[in-house]
Amino acid sequence: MSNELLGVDGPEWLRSDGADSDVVMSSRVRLARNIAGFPFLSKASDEDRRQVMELVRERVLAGGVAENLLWVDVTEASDEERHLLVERHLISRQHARGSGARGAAISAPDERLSIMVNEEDHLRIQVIRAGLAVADAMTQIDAVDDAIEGQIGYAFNPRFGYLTACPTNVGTGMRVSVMLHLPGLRMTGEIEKVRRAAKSLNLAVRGFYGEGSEASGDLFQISNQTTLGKTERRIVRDFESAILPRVLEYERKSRHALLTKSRMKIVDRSHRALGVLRSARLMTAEEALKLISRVRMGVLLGVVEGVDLSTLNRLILLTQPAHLQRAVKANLNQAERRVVRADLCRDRLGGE
Amino acid sequence: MQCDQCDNEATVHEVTVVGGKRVEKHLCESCAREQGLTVQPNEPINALLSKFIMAPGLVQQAVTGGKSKGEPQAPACPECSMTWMEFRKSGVLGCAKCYEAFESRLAPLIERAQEGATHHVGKAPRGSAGLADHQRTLRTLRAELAEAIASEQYEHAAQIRDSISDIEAQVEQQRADAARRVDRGLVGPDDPEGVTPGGAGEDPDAFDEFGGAS
Repeated sequence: MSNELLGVDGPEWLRSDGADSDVVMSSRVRLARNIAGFPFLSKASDEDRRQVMELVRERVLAGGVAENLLWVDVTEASDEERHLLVERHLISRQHARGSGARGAAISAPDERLSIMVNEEDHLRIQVIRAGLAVADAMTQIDAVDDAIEGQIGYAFNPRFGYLTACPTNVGTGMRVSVMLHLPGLRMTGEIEKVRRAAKSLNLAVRGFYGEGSEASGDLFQISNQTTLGKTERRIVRDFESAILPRVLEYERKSRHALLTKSRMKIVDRSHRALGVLRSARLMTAEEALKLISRVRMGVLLGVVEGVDLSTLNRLILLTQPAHLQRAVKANLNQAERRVVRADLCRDRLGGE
Repeated sequence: MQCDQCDNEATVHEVTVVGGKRVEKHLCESCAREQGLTVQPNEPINALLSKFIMAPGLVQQAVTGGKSKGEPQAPACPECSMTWMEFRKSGVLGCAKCYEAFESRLAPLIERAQEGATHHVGKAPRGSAGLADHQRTLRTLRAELAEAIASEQYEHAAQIRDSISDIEAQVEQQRADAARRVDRGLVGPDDPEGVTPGGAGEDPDAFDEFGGAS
């Protein structure tokens, strides 16, 4: 895989200078699209899949959709490469595990845009940005969508809109999500209220790696479920105004309330976490995420100094299995990964 | 409130409109589960949908409109030969044509999964029929709005009203875009996608009659 991709600085969405980045790690918008004239993937022959790939590759890469799009043939990619892409949120787990001709076009070096080809739908277009930037992400993806549509005809029906393999995505085909860091609400136990409020607004709450994953490191994803009956702009507006401002406010309030009420406990907790990250010789991915989250909260509350947010954000990614393997250029078993992960944390956080 | 099926406390409440009539269900957790109505807080929507699809009572309702028992064999999709049974198993359709082939069965399922929405109101490919489609959708939505108000479903009515104003705004936008294109000489007056007669501010329904004919 090209070195241009997967640069060591990490994707742009890990940057710590986005809007509201104390709570919102990243914002993402994705569109599900199918190409007119081809059966959806459940009924596509090998030949259909190949033709869809070639069509997208030729037209989208040539068609001025984005400045520097790199093509990854997911079928040909190694296991490690596929995992790297999943960890960077550039392709889905389903796409990595799938079978048959499939690929992805990714914008380099920012990794803002990725287009999965032959996932559940012919095209899954995604724009991901640092901090709270849902509206910006939508503007960008809308332009990308227009550019692709100028090259390839989409399956569309006046009643149901953009036609998708699963009818739950039909209409706009648009899913909006934000990745939130909610250690305060987790500690005060108020996270359940957020879950309930989100559910009543027909929003889904998930863990770091989407459907079915646990909320490791106090990271939560909130996304819209409704794709039909609202314009794209209204979906974004409802999403941004319905729950996010309140979640942000509650999270900030909880953090400060915790600091006021139990200052030493918070100070101890974040420094203890930093101590372990700077000294441990074995570290699981789960533990690393948990500790990073505690240090991050300490940094944001001003009780931990000398650690910057972008280092912590980057560590969230770099402590993932495939990224560790790439760093040491070797296949590692689970026990070896724990050693390498602990080494990495000590190294990045100035441990001995 | 007591469960409709047993003596337990009803904790799951569902209101649906079947054939224009409001049907309320109040069930306890276990009866709701039997009817496929329980919702896990973190359940992915795909799983949720397939549960709706699989639930025996609901399938019948969706398939037959609740009128008769037994599930008649539906013809397969003429384009990709996907059958309704296949879709029920996998939760994914075979091709674009499936949406037409199974429209009457899909519509209630989609409505359930989409907060009662029945029509797309967002972006459309520039090559699609555009204005005429919007007019058709507006007419349908206005009828639904009247129905929702008549049956006192005010929340649903408010949603429909939002959709209507969204489409109206889009129609205005499209007309303005088309007018600009005409101004710039990009399209001739014969272009079926171009503006229809009548100035801005006119009842958008009015140009349905002219739709694309100018």
